[in-house]
Amino acid sequence: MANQYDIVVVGAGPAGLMVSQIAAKKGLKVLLVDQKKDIPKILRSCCCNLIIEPGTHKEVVTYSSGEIRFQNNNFVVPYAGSVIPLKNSFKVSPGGQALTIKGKSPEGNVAISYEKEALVNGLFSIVQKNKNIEILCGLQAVKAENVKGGVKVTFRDREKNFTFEGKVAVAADGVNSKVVETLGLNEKRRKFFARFRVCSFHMENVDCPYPDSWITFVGTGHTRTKRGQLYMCPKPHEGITDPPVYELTLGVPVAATVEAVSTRDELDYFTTKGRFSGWFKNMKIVDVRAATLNFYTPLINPIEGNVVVVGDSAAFIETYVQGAMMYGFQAGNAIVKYLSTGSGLEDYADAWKESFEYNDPEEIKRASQGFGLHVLKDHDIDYLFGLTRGDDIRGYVNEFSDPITTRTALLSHLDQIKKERPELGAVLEKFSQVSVDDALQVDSRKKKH
Amino acid sequence: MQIDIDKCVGCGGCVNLCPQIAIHFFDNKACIDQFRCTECRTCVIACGMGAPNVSCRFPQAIIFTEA
Ligand SMILES: Cc1cc2nc3c(=O)[nH]c(=O)nc-3n(C[C@H](O)[C@H](O)[C@H](O)COP(=O)(O)OP(=O)(O)OC[C@H]3O[C@@H](n4cnc5c(N)ncnc54)[C@H](O)[C@@H]3O)c2cc1C
Repeated sequence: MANQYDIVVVGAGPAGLMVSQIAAKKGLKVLLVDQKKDIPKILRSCCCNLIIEPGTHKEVVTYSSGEIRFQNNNFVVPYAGSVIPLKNSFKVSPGGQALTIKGKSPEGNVAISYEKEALVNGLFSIVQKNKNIEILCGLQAVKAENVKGGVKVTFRDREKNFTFEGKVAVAADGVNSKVVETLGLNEKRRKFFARFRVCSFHMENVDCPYPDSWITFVGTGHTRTKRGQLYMCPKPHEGITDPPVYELTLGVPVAATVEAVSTRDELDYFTTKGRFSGWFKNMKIVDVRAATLNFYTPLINPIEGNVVVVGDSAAFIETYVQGAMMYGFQAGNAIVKYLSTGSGLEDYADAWKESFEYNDPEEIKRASQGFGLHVLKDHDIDYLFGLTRGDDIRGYVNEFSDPITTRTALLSHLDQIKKERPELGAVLEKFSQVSVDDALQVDSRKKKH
Repeated sequence: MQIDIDKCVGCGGCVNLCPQIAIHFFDNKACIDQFRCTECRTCVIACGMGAPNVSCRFPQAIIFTEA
């Protein structure tokens, strides 16, 4: 027996909580379902920095006294937790040279570190108070189908399947969205890059020489497999900011055929035997989180029939927490309009196409150029970062602009590099010449079909 | 396959990636339905924590009856 709701929302992360809240406030009947038992409990890795660079997703996001403000969309989200403003972004080379990016915001910040659990807790308590929202925990969505008059979503628990029907369904089940997969939408994406495995340690007593900063460990020698990206930053932990808990995160692409070394073992290695193990001599792990993520280009169209795809479900993890909330806000409003007037979903689709960076292939190209650092040898990175000592580089923690900031900083020394290290100069110049086609090459596997 | 719950941190990565829909979330940890699992090892490759392991091999008969 099918159950009828206005909206069935799959996933109670930042995106799903936001859609539910907006729709229920306008009187719509919402069913919100998550596979977790405790919705506000964060189990998955997320560095959780507020990206404060104006213009990110065509929005300006600021934090002050208990509120995250979305200026252009004109709404606020309460945040009752603590924050740590990050002053610098350090890229540390294997030999310990640092490329330093100083905060460009008026307050001199590169980003603001906050606690996801406190944010989600706040959103969840708003949702819990609204009588129009029914919440079900511990149910996993396994399939969504557009049917006459709405969408049928199949869930299951340990033993049984349950079917719920909504006039509209929202896929907010995150980066490996089952809803998106079962609707066949992954087939329509421009490209599948790789699967990433992530692990993070939250640690007390880290002897970090770069306080209040976002740190990226660049180079290949940090892990035994010589692969992956490593980040570290201080985090408020259960409201406490001083002394901070440090979060160290490793992300590694995995080939489907290789059973790679465990990411947890790699972090153990980095903290006990790695080049910077001295920082971790006295550390104590207070939390371990992980993630496994399929890395696709974004959905070009986030609407399929009456299914609206929001947040990471539509775009790897690049929507960020704030984007998940912003697109949740926009999708919620579009659904309200659609259910009262019969049209309006396109408003959300248009906003998505217009504002999400990686819908523009040129942006993907720019990103791939910057991350060209990974083709360099460790000693080259030491040399290059050494050249930037004393430079006044300003920027933000933001994957959309950081590659350009870094590349510009290095290229400002191109004449010297070409003179001293002509081969390296040539490699650097080549970064600027990646074509969109190269950046977005269709998988050869896909081409065959 | 079985999940070592001491190693699983409950990130949910394997849950949506399992092609047999054999993994569900139970008590914020991954849990593998032995009747659905075909030991395809997708979860082993997906998991960075080394939580899934081959500690039981089901008789073919059971898999066939279930399918
Ligand atoms: C390593 C890492 C670092 C990051 N760093 C940052 C950062 O610094 N700043 C930032 O803003 N963002 C960061 N992000 C991204 C951020 O975590 C996401 O963009 C954000 O959480 C997306 O929110 P969402 O609501 O779309 O999805 P999620 O937060 O993933 O929520 C999805 C929800 O759906 C549930 N779910 C999943 N599948 C099902 C199913 N089949 N059935 C029912 N429920 C299901 C999950 O339990 C979860 O509650 C990072 C992510 C990672 C992995």
